[in-house]
Amino acid sequence: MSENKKVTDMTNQEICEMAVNEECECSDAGVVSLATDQTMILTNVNADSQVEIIKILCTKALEKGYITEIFIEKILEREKEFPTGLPTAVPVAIPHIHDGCLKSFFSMATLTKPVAFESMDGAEDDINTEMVFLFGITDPSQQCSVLMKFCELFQNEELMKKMRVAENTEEQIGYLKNALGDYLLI
Amino acid sequence: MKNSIKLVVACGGGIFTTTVVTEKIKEIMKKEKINCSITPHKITEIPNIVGADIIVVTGKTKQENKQGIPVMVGLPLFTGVGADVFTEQLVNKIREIMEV
Repeated sequence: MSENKKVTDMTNQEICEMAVNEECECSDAGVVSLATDQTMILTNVNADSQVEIIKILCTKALEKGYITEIFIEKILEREKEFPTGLPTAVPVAIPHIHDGCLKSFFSMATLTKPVAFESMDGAEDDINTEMVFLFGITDPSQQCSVLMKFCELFQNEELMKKMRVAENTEEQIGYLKNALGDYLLI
Repeated sequence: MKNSIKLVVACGGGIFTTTVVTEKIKEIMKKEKINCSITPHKITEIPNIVGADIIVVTGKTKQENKQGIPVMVGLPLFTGVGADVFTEQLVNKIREIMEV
């Protein structure tokens, strides 16, 4: 099959996405950040299940007006079908979705006891996570740089170990500023 | 012999990991001097993707592509765990495809 034929076999939507993606270099114009605040950075939360911790974090976002109710429903559905546990050195889960998200945000909690999330890659062993980062993202093409920053953070074992045992929100925000710099809008 | 490669990167929602892994692959391809185009997709679309040379997924899937396009699990590029091994496998696979 020739190259030309392959391109004509693609749907218009696919070609469109391809064009959009070509423009999505990580040098997004200015610093596009994710909103958060003190009420969304929680430490020492006692949750018995992934549903409970997701609901706790979503409630904070709902109070701030960053999401609608549909967000909570969709993010719970999504976690069942496409789990978000990460087998990083310090295991975390990163539930995220765009349905029902009005303003891009990030929230997080450290847990008093581990909560099991399924691994994103479908590995048999669950990820027992003591930290959950929950995101609402309206337009990933505009938020590429900040998402890369979080990816770096998840791979930063030393910093993640400190964050896991942070005693309070203030201390945690200090670590986040260190990791995210201008990308932390607080 | 192909002079460029068409990649698809797919995750559950096509948001977070797709965005990051796409950037990581761009960096790798730049370093290896391989011309590429990368299209984002959702995992559910994998069976019906046409016109791509290779599909990299970040989420769990047992789905295969109907056209037989190879599917690789690229989560190591996101977590950093096993990233070097995966990068080598990806580059080898791409070079193999390009030689055909």
